[in-house]
Amino acid sequence: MPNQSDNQLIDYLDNHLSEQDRLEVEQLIHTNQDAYEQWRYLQLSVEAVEYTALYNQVGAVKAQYQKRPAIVRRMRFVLTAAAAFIIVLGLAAYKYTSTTAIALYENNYAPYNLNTSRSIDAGNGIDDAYRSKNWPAVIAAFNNTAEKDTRGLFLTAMSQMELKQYADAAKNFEQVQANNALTGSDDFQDEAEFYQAMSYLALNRGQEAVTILEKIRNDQTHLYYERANRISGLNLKIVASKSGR
Amino acid sequence: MLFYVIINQSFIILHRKVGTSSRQQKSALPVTGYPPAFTNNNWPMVNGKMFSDIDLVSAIRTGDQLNSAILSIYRQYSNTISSFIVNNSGTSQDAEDIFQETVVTFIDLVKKDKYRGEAGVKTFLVSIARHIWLNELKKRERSGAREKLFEHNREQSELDVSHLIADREVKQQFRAVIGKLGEPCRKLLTLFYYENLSMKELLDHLPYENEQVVRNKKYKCLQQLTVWMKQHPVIARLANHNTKSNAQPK
Repeated sequence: MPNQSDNQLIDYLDNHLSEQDRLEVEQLIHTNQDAYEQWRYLQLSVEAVEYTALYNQVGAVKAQYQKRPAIVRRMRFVLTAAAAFIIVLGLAAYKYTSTTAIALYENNYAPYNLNTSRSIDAGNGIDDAYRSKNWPAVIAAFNNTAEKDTRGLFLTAMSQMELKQYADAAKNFEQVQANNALTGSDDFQDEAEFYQAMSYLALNRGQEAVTILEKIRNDQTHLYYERANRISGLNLKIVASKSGR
Repeated sequence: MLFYVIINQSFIILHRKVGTSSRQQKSALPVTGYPPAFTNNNWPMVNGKMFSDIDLVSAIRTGDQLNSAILSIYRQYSNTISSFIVNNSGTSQDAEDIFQETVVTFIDLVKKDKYRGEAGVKTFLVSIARHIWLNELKKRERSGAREKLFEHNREQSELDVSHLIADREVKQQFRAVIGKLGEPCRKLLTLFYYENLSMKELLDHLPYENEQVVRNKKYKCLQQLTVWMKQHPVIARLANHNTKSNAQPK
Protein backbone atom coordinates (compact mmCIF):
# COMPACT_ATOMS: atom_id res chain seq x y z
CA MET A 1 0.00 0.00 0.00
CA PRO A 2 1.61 3.24 -1.05
CA ASN A 3 2.59 5.61 1.67
CA GLN A 4 0.29 8.64 1.70
CA SER A 5 3.17 11.05 1.90
CA ASP A 6 4.83 9.25 -1.03
CA ASN A 7 1.70 9.86 -3.08
CA GLN A 8 1.78 13.47 -2.01
CA LEU A 9 5.35 13.71 -3.22
CA ILE A 10 4.27 12.26 -6.54
CA ASP A 11 1.44 14.79 -6.77
CA TYR A 12 3.94 17.50 -5.92
CA LEU A 13 6.23 16.17 -8.67
CA ASP A 14 3.30 16.27 -11.10
CA ASN A 15 2.23 19.73 -9.94
CA HIS A 16 -1.17 18.39 -8.95
CA LEU A 17 -1.39 19.97 -5.50
CA SER A 18 -3.22 22.99 -4.26
CA GLU A 19 -1.13 25.93 -3.23
CA GLN A 20 -1.41 25.09 0.45
CA ASP A 21 -0.56 21.43 -0.01
CA ARG A 22 2.36 22.34 -2.24
CA LEU A 23 3.84 24.54 0.45
CA GLU A 24 3.43 21.80 3.04
CA VAL A 25 5.23 19.27 0.86
CA GLU A 26 8.05 21.70 0.17
CA GLN A 27 8.43 22.24 3.88
CA LEU A 28 8.55 18.50 4.40
CA ILE A 29 11.23 18.03 1.75
CA HIS A 30 13.37 20.76 3.26
CA THR A 31 13.04 19.57 6.83
CA ASN A 32 12.81 15.79 6.61
CA GLN A 33 15.79 13.75 5.35
CA ASP A 34 13.69 10.73 4.46
CA ALA A 35 11.25 12.86 2.52
CA TYR A 36 14.07 14.56 0.71
CA GLU A 37 15.64 11.22 -0.18
CA GLN A 38 12.31 9.91 -1.45
CA TRP A 39 11.84 13.08 -3.44
CA ARG A 40 15.28 12.66 -4.97
CA TYR A 41 14.57 9.09 -6.02
CA LEU A 42 11.29 10.13 -7.54
CA GLN A 43 13.12 12.70 -9.64
CA LEU A 44 15.65 10.09 -10.72
CA SER A 45 12.84 7.69 -11.56
CA VAL A 46 11.22 10.23 -13.84
CA GLU A 47 14.60 11.00 -15.36
CA ALA A 48 15.04 7.28 -16.00
CA VAL A 49 11.65 7.06 -17.70
CA GLU A 50 12.40 10.05 -19.89
CA TYR A 51 15.91 8.90 -20.82
CA THR A 52 14.80 5.38 -21.68
CA ALA A 53 11.88 6.66 -23.74
CA LEU A 54 14.18 8.96 -25.68
CA TYR A 55 16.66 6.13 -26.19
CA ASN A 56 13.89 3.92 -27.55
CA GLN A 57 12.56 6.69 -29.77
CA VAL A 58 15.98 7.21 -31.32
CA GLY A 59 16.25 3.44 -31.72
CA ALA A 60 12.94 3.32 -33.56
CA VAL A 61 14.00 6.02 -36.00
CA LYS A 62 17.35 4.25 -36.40
CA ALA A 63 15.53 1.06 -37.34
CA GLN A 64 13.56 2.95 -39.97
CA TYR A 65 16.70 4.61 -41.26
CA GLN A 66 18.49 1.31 -41.60
CA LYS A 67 15.60 -0.23 -43.52
CA ARG A 68 14.90 2.56 -45.98
CA PRO A 69 18.32 3.06 -47.60
CA ALA A 70 18.39 -0.59 -48.65
CA ILE A 71 15.06 -0.22 -50.36
CA VAL A 72 16.09 3.07 -51.89
CA ARG A 73 19.45 1.60 -52.93
CA ARG A 74 17.75 -1.30 -54.66
CA MET A 75 15.25 0.96 -56.34
CA ARG A 76 18.03 3.40 -57.23
CA PHE A 77 19.87 0.58 -58.96
CA VAL A 78 16.76 -0.52 -60.79
CA LEU A 79 15.90 3.02 -61.82
CA THR A 80 19.47 3.71 -62.92
CA ALA A 81 19.57 0.51 -64.91
CA ALA A 82 16.19 1.28 -66.43
CA ALA A 83 17.24 4.80 -67.29
CA ALA A 84 20.49 3.57 -68.82
CA PHE A 85 18.57 1.00 -70.82
CA ILE A 86 16.12 3.61 -72.05
CA ILE A 87 18.99 5.91 -72.99
CA VAL A 88 20.80 3.17 -74.85
CA LEU A 89 17.60 2.09 -76.52
CA GLY A 90 16.81 5.65 -77.50
CA LEU A 91 20.27 6.23 -78.86
CA ALA A 92 20.16 2.97 -80.76
CA ALA A 93 16.77 3.80 -82.21
CA TYR A 94 17.95 7.26 -83.21
CA LYS A 95 21.10 5.82 -84.72
CA TYR A 96 19.16 3.21 -86.67
CA THR A 97 16.57 5.57 -88.06
CA SER A 98 19.00 8.35 -88.91
CA THR A 99 21.57 6.13 -90.61
CA THR A 100 20.53 5.71 -94.22
CA ALA A 101 22.32 4.99 -97.44
CA ILE A 102 21.55 8.47 -98.67
CA ALA A 103 22.80 10.06 -95.46
CA LEU A 104 25.98 8.03 -95.80
CA TYR A 105 26.38 9.26 -99.35
CA GLU A 106 25.85 12.88 -98.34
CA ASN A 107 28.40 12.63 -95.56
CA ASN A 108 31.09 10.85 -97.56
CA TYR A 109 30.82 11.98 -101.16
CA ALA A 110 33.38 14.42 -102.51
CA PRO A 111 33.84 15.19 -106.23
CA TYR A 112 36.72 13.65 -108.05
CA ASN A 113 39.54 16.13 -108.45
CA LEU A 114 41.08 15.87 -111.87
CA ASN A 115 44.77 15.98 -111.20
CA THR A 116 46.50 18.02 -113.89
CA SER A 117 49.49 15.72 -113.74
CA ARG A 118 47.27 12.89 -114.86
CA SER A 119 45.90 14.83 -117.70
CA ILE A 120 46.56 13.10 -120.92
CA ASP A 121 44.20 15.32 -122.69
CA ALA A 122 42.84 13.57 -125.70
CA GLY A 123 42.04 16.89 -127.18
CA ASN A 124 38.31 16.26 -127.09
CA GLY A 125 37.63 19.03 -124.58
CA ILE A 126 36.40 16.66 -121.85
CA ASP A 127 39.14 17.56 -119.39
CA ASP A 128 38.66 21.30 -119.87
CA ALA A 129 34.93 20.99 -119.45
CA TYR A 130 35.41 18.87 -116.32
CA ARG A 131 37.82 21.31 -114.75
CA SER A 132 35.35 24.08 -115.55
CA LYS A 133 32.68 22.01 -113.82
CA ASN A 134 30.61 22.18 -116.95
CA TRP A 135 29.06 18.82 -116.44
CA PRO A 136 26.64 18.81 -119.37
CA ALA A 137 29.54 19.79 -121.64
CA VAL A 138 31.56 16.83 -120.38
CA ILE A 139 28.73 14.46 -121.20
CA ALA A 140 28.10 16.07 -124.58
CA ALA A 141 31.79 16.01 -125.48
CA PHE A 142 32.03 12.34 -124.56
CA ASN A 143 28.91 11.45 -126.54
CA ASN A 144 30.30 13.30 -129.55
CA THR A 145 33.75 11.82 -129.47
CA ALA A 146 34.52 8.85 -131.65
CA GLU A 147 37.04 7.22 -129.36
CA LYS A 148 35.32 6.65 -126.07
CA ASP A 149 38.21 5.84 -123.79
CA THR A 150 38.13 4.81 -120.15
CA ARG A 151 39.16 8.25 -118.95
CA GLY A 152 36.34 9.96 -120.83
CA LEU A 153 33.88 7.37 -119.60
CA PHE A 154 34.93 7.86 -116.00
CA LEU A 155 34.77 11.68 -116.18
CA THR A 156 31.36 11.40 -117.81
CA ALA A 157 30.18 9.20 -114.96
CA MET A 158 31.51 11.72 -112.43
CA SER A 159 29.69 14.53 -114.28
CA GLN A 160 26.52 12.48 -114.06
CA MET A 161 27.10 12.14 -110.31
CA GLU A 162 27.31 15.93 -110.05
CA LEU A 163 24.08 16.21 -112.03
CA LYS A 164 22.52 13.63 -109.67
CA GLN A 165 22.05 11.21 -112.54
CA TYR A 166 23.07 8.39 -110.25
CA ALA A 167 21.68 5.47 -112.23
CA ASP A 168 23.54 6.51 -115.39
CA ALA A 169 26.66 7.17 -113.39
CA ALA A 170 26.50 3.71 -111.80
CA LYS A 171 26.23 2.07 -115.25
CA ASN A 172 29.24 3.99 -116.53
CA PHE A 173 31.32 3.13 -113.46
CA GLU A 174 30.47 -0.54 -114.12
CA GLN A 175 31.49 -0.09 -117.73
CA VAL A 176 34.87 1.34 -116.76
CA GLN A 177 35.54 -1.76 -114.71
CA ALA A 178 34.28 -4.04 -117.47
CA ASN A 179 36.54 -2.32 -120.00
CA ASN A 180 39.53 -2.80 -117.70
CA ALA A 181 38.68 -6.45 -117.32
CA LEU A 182 38.65 -6.85 -121.09
CA THR A 183 41.88 -4.99 -121.73
CA GLY A 184 43.72 -6.09 -118.63
CA SER A 185 44.41 -2.53 -117.61
CA ASP A 186 43.47 -0.70 -114.44
CA ASP A 187 42.75 2.82 -115.67
CA PHE A 188 40.59 4.56 -113.09
CA GLN A 189 39.79 1.13 -111.67
CA ASP A 190 39.98 2.15 -108.01
CA GLU A 191 38.17 5.41 -108.66
CA ALA A 192 35.39 3.65 -110.54
CA GLU A 193 34.91 1.14 -107.72
CA PHE A 194 34.68 3.77 -105.02
CA TYR A 195 32.38 6.09 -106.89
CA GLN A 196 30.24 3.20 -107.99
CA ALA A 197 29.69 2.51 -104.32
CA MET A 198 28.82 6.16 -103.83
CA SER A 199 26.31 6.03 -106.67
CA TYR A 200 24.70 2.94 -105.11
CA LEU A 201 24.37 4.78 -101.81
CA ALA A 202 22.72 7.69 -103.56
CA LEU A 203 20.35 5.21 -105.18
CA ASN A 204 19.62 3.66 -101.77
CA ARG A 205 21.10 0.37 -102.93
CA GLY A 206 22.82 -0.06 -99.60
CA GLN A 207 23.79 -3.72 -99.72
CA GLU A 208 25.53 -3.35 -103.07
CA ALA A 209 27.37 -0.26 -101.90
CA VAL A 210 28.47 -1.90 -98.68
CA THR A 211 29.79 -4.94 -100.56
CA ILE A 212 32.10 -2.73 -102.61
CA LEU A 213 33.13 -0.58 -99.69
CA GLU A 214 33.94 -3.60 -97.52
CA LYS A 215 36.16 -4.89 -100.32
CA ILE A 216 37.98 -1.55 -100.47
CA ARG A 217 38.29 -1.41 -96.65
CA ASN A 218 40.10 -4.70 -96.71
CA ASP A 219 42.52 -3.76 -99.51
CA GLN A 220 45.35 -1.63 -98.20
CA THR A 221 46.69 -1.10 -101.71
CA HIS A 222 43.44 0.47 -102.89
CA LEU A 223 43.65 4.17 -103.63
CA TYR A 224 40.47 4.73 -101.61
CA TYR A 225 41.39 2.45 -98.71
CA GLU A 226 41.67 5.33 -96.21
CA ARG A 227 38.52 7.07 -97.39
CA ALA A 228 36.53 3.88 -97.20
CA ASN A 229 37.81 3.21 -93.69
CA ARG A 230 36.77 6.65 -92.54
CA ILE A 231 33.21 5.49 -92.94
CA SER A 232 31.91 3.94 -89.73
CA GLY A 233 31.64 0.16 -89.84
CA LEU A 234 28.49 0.37 -87.72
CA ASN A 235 26.90 2.69 -90.24
CA LEU A 236 27.71 0.28 -93.03
CA LYS A 237 26.15 -2.58 -91.10
CA ILE A 238 23.00 -0.58 -90.44
CA VAL A 239 22.69 0.43 -94.07
CA ALA A 240 23.27 -3.15 -95.20
CA SER A 241 20.69 -4.51 -92.78
CA LYS A 242 18.10 -1.97 -93.83
CA SER A 243 18.67 -2.68 -97.46
CA GLY A 244 18.28 -6.39 -96.83
CA ARG A 245 14.56 -5.91 -95.99
CA MET B 1 20.35 16.32 -68.61
CA LEU B 2 16.69 15.49 -69.09
CA PHE B 3 17.21 11.93 -67.95
CA TYR B 4 19.13 13.15 -64.90
CA VAL B 5 16.16 15.33 -63.97
CA ILE B 6 13.78 12.44 -64.53
CA ILE B 7 15.82 10.14 -62.33
CA ASN B 8 16.07 12.74 -59.58
CA GLN B 9 12.33 13.34 -59.56
CA SER B 10 11.77 9.59 -59.51
CA PHE B 11 13.91 9.28 -56.41
CA ILE B 12 12.00 12.06 -54.70
CA ILE B 13 8.67 10.38 -55.46
CA LEU B 14 10.07 7.01 -54.42
CA HIS B 15 11.42 8.52 -51.20
CA ARG B 16 7.96 9.78 -50.33
CA LYS B 17 6.35 6.47 -51.22
CA VAL B 18 8.80 4.51 -49.09
CA GLY B 19 8.11 6.89 -46.24
CA THR B 20 4.39 6.37 -46.74
CA SER B 21 4.64 2.61 -46.83
CA SER B 22 6.69 2.72 -43.64
CA ARG B 23 4.03 4.85 -41.98
CA GLN B 24 1.41 2.31 -43.02
CA GLN B 25 3.31 -0.56 -41.44
CA LYS B 26 1.93 0.27 -38.02
CA SER B 27 1.89 -3.37 -37.03
CA ALA B 28 5.67 -3.62 -37.54
CA LEU B 29 6.65 -2.30 -34.12
CA PRO B 30 10.26 -1.33 -33.40
CA VAL B 31 12.55 -3.46 -31.30
CA THR B 32 11.37 -1.77 -28.10
CA GLY B 33 8.00 -3.45 -28.48
CA TYR B 34 6.36 -0.22 -27.58
CA PRO B 35 6.99 2.84 -29.67
CA PRO B 36 7.29 5.91 -27.50
CA ALA B 37 6.08 9.20 -28.89
CA PHE B 38 3.62 7.30 -31.06
CA THR B 39 0.25 8.21 -29.72
CA ASN B 40 -2.79 6.38 -31.01
CA ASN B 41 -0.48 3.64 -32.33
CA ASN B 42 0.47 5.79 -35.30
CA TRP B 43 3.91 5.26 -36.77
CA PRO B 44 6.10 8.36 -36.35
CA MET B 45 5.52 10.96 -38.99
CA VAL B 46 9.03 10.96 -40.32
CA ASN B 47 9.89 12.75 -43.48
CA GLY B 48 13.14 12.99 -45.33
CA LYS B 49 13.70 16.65 -44.50
CA MET B 50 17.29 17.68 -43.90
CA PHE B 51 17.72 20.16 -41.09
CA SER B 52 20.24 22.93 -40.78
CA ASP B 53 21.96 23.22 -37.40
CA ILE B 54 19.60 25.96 -36.26
CA ASP B 55 16.48 24.14 -37.42
CA LEU B 56 17.70 20.93 -35.86
CA VAL B 57 18.15 22.46 -32.45
CA SER B 58 14.80 24.19 -32.72
CA ALA B 59 13.04 20.96 -33.70
CA ILE B 60 14.56 19.17 -30.73
CA ARG B 61 13.66 21.89 -28.28
CA THR B 62 10.05 22.22 -29.43
CA GLY B 63 9.71 18.46 -29.85
CA ASP B 64 7.12 18.64 -32.61
CA GLN B 65 9.46 17.30 -35.31
CA LEU B 66 11.72 15.24 -33.13
CA ASN B 67 11.53 12.08 -35.24
CA SER B 68 12.36 13.99 -38.39
CA ALA B 69 15.22 15.68 -36.58
CA ILE B 70 16.58 12.33 -35.44
CA LEU B 71 16.35 10.98 -38.97
CA SER B 72 18.11 14.05 -40.27
CA ILE B 73 20.95 13.47 -37.80
CA TYR B 74 21.25 9.89 -38.94
CA ARG B 75 21.27 10.82 -42.59
CA GLN B 76 23.81 13.56 -42.19
CA TYR B 77 26.20 12.24 -39.58
CA SER B 78 25.90 8.50 -39.03
CA ASN B 79 28.43 7.58 -41.72
CA THR B 80 31.05 10.01 -40.45
CA ILE B 81 30.82 8.95 -36.85
CA SER B 82 30.44 5.26 -37.61
CA SER B 83 33.62 5.43 -39.69
CA PHE B 84 35.38 7.03 -36.76
CA ILE B 85 34.34 4.22 -34.43
CA VAL B 86 35.24 1.48 -36.88
CA ASN B 87 38.61 3.08 -37.56
CA ASN B 88 39.30 3.14 -33.85
CA SER B 89 38.97 -0.48 -32.83
CA GLY B 90 35.21 -0.64 -33.06
CA THR B 91 32.95 -3.04 -34.89
CA SER B 92 30.00 -2.00 -37.00
CA GLN B 93 27.72 -2.97 -34.12
CA ASP B 94 29.76 -0.77 -31.80
CA ALA B 95 29.35 2.05 -34.30
CA GLU B 96 25.59 1.57 -34.34
CA ASP B 97 25.28 1.50 -30.58
CA ILE B 98 27.64 4.37 -29.94
CA PHE B 99 25.98 6.56 -32.54
CA GLN B 100 22.57 5.89 -31.03
CA GLU B 101 23.89 6.82 -27.61
CA THR B 102 25.52 9.89 -29.11
CA VAL B 103 22.25 11.06 -30.62
CA VAL B 104 20.39 10.48 -27.36
CA THR B 105 23.02 12.39 -25.42
CA PHE B 106 22.95 15.24 -27.90
CA ILE B 107 19.17 15.54 -27.75
CA ASP B 108 19.25 15.39 -23.97
CA LEU B 109 21.81 18.19 -23.85
CA VAL B 110 19.83 20.33 -26.25
CA LYS B 111 16.64 19.86 -24.24
CA LYS B 112 18.47 20.85 -21.07
CA ASP B 113 19.89 23.87 -22.83
CA LYS B 114 23.45 22.67 -22.40
CA TYR B 115 24.18 23.05 -26.11
CA ARG B 116 24.09 26.64 -27.19
CA GLY B 117 25.72 26.50 -30.60
CA GLU B 118 29.25 27.04 -29.39
CA ALA B 119 30.27 24.57 -32.07
CA GLY B 120 28.51 23.15 -35.10
CA VAL B 121 26.26 20.16 -34.59
CA LYS B 122 28.66 17.88 -36.41
CA THR B 123 31.62 18.95 -34.27
CA PHE B 124 29.55 18.54 -31.15
CA LEU B 125 28.33 15.09 -32.14
CA VAL B 126 31.86 13.97 -32.94
CA SER B 127 33.04 15.20 -29.58
CA ILE B 128 30.26 13.34 -27.80
CA ALA B 129 30.92 10.17 -29.78
CA ARG B 130 34.62 10.37 -29.11
CA HIS B 131 34.03 10.80 -25.38
CA ILE B 132 31.54 7.93 -25.23
CA TRP B 133 33.73 5.61 -27.27
CA LEU B 134 36.81 6.38 -25.19
CA ASN B 135 34.82 5.60 -22.08
CA GLU B 136 33.63 2.38 -23.62
CA LEU B 137 37.14 1.34 -24.52
CA LYS B 138 38.30 2.06 -21.00
CA LYS B 139 35.45 0.00 -19.71
CA ARG B 140 36.52 -2.89 -21.93
CA GLU B 141 40.02 -2.54 -20.56
CA ARG B 142 41.47 -2.11 -23.96
CA SER B 143 42.50 1.48 -23.60
CA GLY B 144 46.25 1.38 -23.26
CA ALA B 145 47.81 2.62 -26.43
CA ARG B 146 44.41 3.40 -27.92
CA GLU B 147 43.63 5.91 -25.26
CA LYS B 148 46.91 7.61 -25.97
CA LEU B 149 46.15 7.44 -29.67
CA PHE B 150 42.82 9.10 -29.02
CA GLU B 151 44.29 11.89 -27.00
CA HIS B 152 47.18 12.33 -29.37
CA ASN B 153 44.92 12.56 -32.36
CA ARG B 154 42.35 14.80 -30.81
CA GLU B 155 42.43 18.06 -32.62
CA GLN B 156 43.12 21.25 -30.81
CA SER B 157 39.83 22.66 -31.92
CA GLU B 158 37.83 19.70 -30.64
CA LEU B 159 35.46 20.31 -27.79
CA ASP B 160 35.78 18.79 -24.37
CA VAL B 161 32.27 17.64 -23.56
CA SER B 162 33.10 15.43 -20.63
CA HIS B 163 31.74 17.95 -18.17
CA LEU B 164 28.43 17.94 -19.98
CA ILE B 165 27.87 14.24 -20.10
CA ALA B 166 26.67 12.46 -17.01
CA ASP B 167 28.01 9.10 -15.95
CA ARG B 168 27.20 6.70 -18.78
CA GLU B 169 26.85 3.88 -16.39
CA VAL B 170 24.01 5.64 -14.62
CA LYS B 171 22.17 6.08 -17.89
CA GLN B 172 22.70 2.47 -18.80
CA GLN B 173 21.35 1.42 -15.42
CA PHE B 174 18.33 3.66 -15.92
CA ARG B 175 17.46 1.58 -18.96
CA ALA B 176 18.07 -1.63 -17.11
CA VAL B 177 15.77 -0.62 -14.26
CA ILE B 178 13.03 0.59 -16.61
CA GLY B 179 13.36 -2.72 -18.40
CA LYS B 180 12.30 -4.45 -15.20
CA LEU B 181 9.00 -2.64 -15.23
CA GLY B 182 6.09 -4.51 -16.67
CA GLU B 183 4.62 -3.37 -19.95
CA PRO B 184 1.59 -1.59 -18.40
CA CYS B 185 3.73 0.46 -15.99
CA ARG B 186 6.34 1.26 -18.59
CA LYS B 187 3.68 2.42 -21.02
CA LEU B 188 1.79 4.47 -18.45
CA LEU B 189 4.86 6.24 -17.10
CA THR B 190 6.22 6.91 -20.58
CA LEU B 191 2.95 8.33 -21.84
CA PHE B 192 2.63 10.57 -18.80
CA TYR B 193 6.18 11.76 -18.20
CA TYR B 194 7.67 11.58 -21.70
CA GLU B 195 4.67 12.19 -23.93
CA ASN B 196 3.12 14.55 -21.39
CA LEU B 197 -0.37 13.18 -21.82
CA SER B 198 -2.98 14.20 -19.30
CA MET B 199 -4.88 11.72 -17.17
CA LYS B 200 -7.85 12.09 -19.46
CA GLU B 201 -5.75 11.44 -22.57
CA LEU B 202 -4.20 8.41 -20.95
CA LEU B 203 -7.62 6.77 -20.84
CA ASP B 204 -7.53 6.60 -24.65
CA HIS B 205 -4.40 4.48 -24.50
CA LEU B 206 -4.86 2.40 -21.40
CA PRO B 207 -7.49 -0.12 -20.37
CA TYR B 208 -8.61 1.65 -17.17
CA GLU B 209 -12.08 2.76 -16.18
CA ASN B 210 -11.46 6.32 -15.07
CA GLU B 211 -8.83 8.89 -14.22
CA GLN B 212 -8.62 7.94 -10.55
CA VAL B 213 -7.82 4.37 -11.48
CA VAL B 214 -5.08 5.65 -13.78
CA ARG B 215 -3.74 7.87 -11.04
CA ASN B 216 -3.66 5.01 -8.55
CA LYS B 217 -1.91 2.81 -11.07
CA LYS B 218 0.65 5.52 -11.69
CA TYR B 219 1.35 5.82 -7.96
CA LYS B 220 2.03 2.12 -7.76
CA CYS B 221 4.23 2.05 -10.84
CA LEU B 222 6.30 5.00 -9.73
CA GLN B 223 6.64 3.63 -6.20
CA GLN B 224 7.83 0.30 -7.55
CA LEU B 225 10.27 2.02 -9.85
CA THR B 226 11.60 4.09 -6.98
CA VAL B 227 12.15 0.99 -4.88
CA TRP B 228 14.20 -0.61 -7.65
CA MET B 229 16.15 2.60 -8.16
CA LYS B 230 17.10 2.56 -4.48
CA GLN B 231 18.24 -1.02 -4.76
CA HIS B 232 20.55 -0.29 -7.63
CA PRO B 233 24.01 0.58 -6.29
CA VAL B 234 25.11 2.90 -9.09
CA ILE B 235 21.94 4.90 -8.96
CA ALA B 236 21.83 4.86 -5.18
CA ARG B 237 25.36 6.21 -5.13
CA LEU B 238 24.28 9.09 -7.32
CA ALA B 239 21.25 9.81 -5.18
CA ASN B 240 23.18 9.55 -1.91
CA HIS B 241 25.88 11.82 -3.20
CA ASN B 242 23.31 14.47 -3.93
CA THR B 243 21.48 13.79 -0.70
CA LYS B 244 24.55 14.22 1.44
CA SER B 245 25.60 17.35 -0.32
CA ASN B 246 22.16 18.77 0.32
CA ALA B 247 21.78 17.53 3.86
CA GLN B 248 18.69 18.88 5.51
CA PRO B 249 18.20 19.52 9.22
CA LYS B 250 15.57 17.31 10.82
